[in-house]
Amino acid sequence: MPKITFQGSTIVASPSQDLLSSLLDASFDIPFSCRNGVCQSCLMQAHENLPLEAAQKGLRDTLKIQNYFLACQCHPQMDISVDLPNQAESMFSSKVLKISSLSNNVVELKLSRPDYFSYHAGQYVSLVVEIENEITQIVRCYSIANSANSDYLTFHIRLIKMGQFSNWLKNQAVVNYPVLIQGPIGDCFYVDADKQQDIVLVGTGTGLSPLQGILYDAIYANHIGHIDVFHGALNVEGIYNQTLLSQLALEHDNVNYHPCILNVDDKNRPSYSYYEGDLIQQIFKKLPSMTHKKVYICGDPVLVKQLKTQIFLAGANSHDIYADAFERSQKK
Amino acid sequence: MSSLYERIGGEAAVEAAVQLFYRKMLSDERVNRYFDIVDMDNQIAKQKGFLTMVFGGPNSYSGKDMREGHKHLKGLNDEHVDAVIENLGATLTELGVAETDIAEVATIANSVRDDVLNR
Repeated sequence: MPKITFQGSTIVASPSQDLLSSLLDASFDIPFSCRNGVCQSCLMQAHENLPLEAAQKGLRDTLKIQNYFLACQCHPQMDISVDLPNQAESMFSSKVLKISSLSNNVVELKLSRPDYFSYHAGQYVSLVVEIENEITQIVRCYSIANSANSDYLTFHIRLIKMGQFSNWLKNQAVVNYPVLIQGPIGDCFYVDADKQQDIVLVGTGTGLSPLQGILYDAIYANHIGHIDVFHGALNVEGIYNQTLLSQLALEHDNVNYHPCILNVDDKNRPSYSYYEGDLIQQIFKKLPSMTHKKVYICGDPVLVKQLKTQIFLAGANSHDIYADAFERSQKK
Repeated sequence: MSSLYERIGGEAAVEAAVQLFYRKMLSDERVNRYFDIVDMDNQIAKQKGFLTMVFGGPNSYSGKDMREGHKHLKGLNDEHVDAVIENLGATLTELGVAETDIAEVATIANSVRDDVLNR
């Protein structure tokens, strides 16, 4: 009979039972509610690729690809090793390769890619750095901005006055400085389930970080549908990587780049083409209907929430809306 | 004769209906303040549970669950339940479900009215 491994223990799966019942019978504490494949309370992750389709009905593509499934709908036919969501992530050692400035207040941090570290561009990780001469560690979450087909990792990091991570970047981070990476986490990434589907990428500030990664992965996969990138900023200084994104749009007919600036100072008008005014208005002016589109929204939490609703109401399927709200790290 | 759930189209119909239904609920001034879209997947999952129940499908939602699930919502009254049933009917009409079946769905939805309103 097949065995189930969970949190280091192995139990024998009863052939007449679903995986949730087997684990509950063995006194494991697994969240559940409807036991009918609907409420998704008993979401779990398998460690290997197994045929789990029957237990993946109604899940997003990004969850399916990461071997997530509903325990109440899973009848194990072979040995299976499982975890609760996001318990499976591990720690990896990395080091600083390069730090470069993208704008007045955004820095690109380039790290070495640890062996066996697999990810999807757009997912996020916790970066852990030890401060010299102090016992403290700083832990911050950042989204991966480059394609999963690279041998390094890049992150866009907004510099914050008196921010601990910002201070580390300015004062201590040098090439080869060790960094621990925990993760990856999140389901904001490209899946090539339907190459014809139009994609909309919307971000404010360093919300561009995951979107740029998703864009690279989509281009790498030869995505066919249109890809519209909207980058919103409060002022001209907030727009960065404009040259890079314009270039990508030039090279790929299906890619369009729209920098949107809320307030433009007359003395400091950019030389590139841009839209002045409200980001949300601009998005719906360009794309009045979101039906059949896949939409990724990253950055300011208030905007993310507002856009999620409006994009759903404009016709996008809830499964096609991916959002990543960037919450500021709270002081202890 | 096939069951109501089968006639409506089973699980595939629930999946199609939930998107339309939830969109209608969010656009409806009478009820949309009860929905916060922070965890959209979670809310869609709950609506799917509800739709499966009112379509007469396999579900494990009890009157007690309906009571517990709505107890914390302040000011909930008959008008809100009417709005839900109305949006449910409009959704099913859009999906081409027969009127007699829609009436049957409304009857099931009505049967949990007192649980939802905690009376």
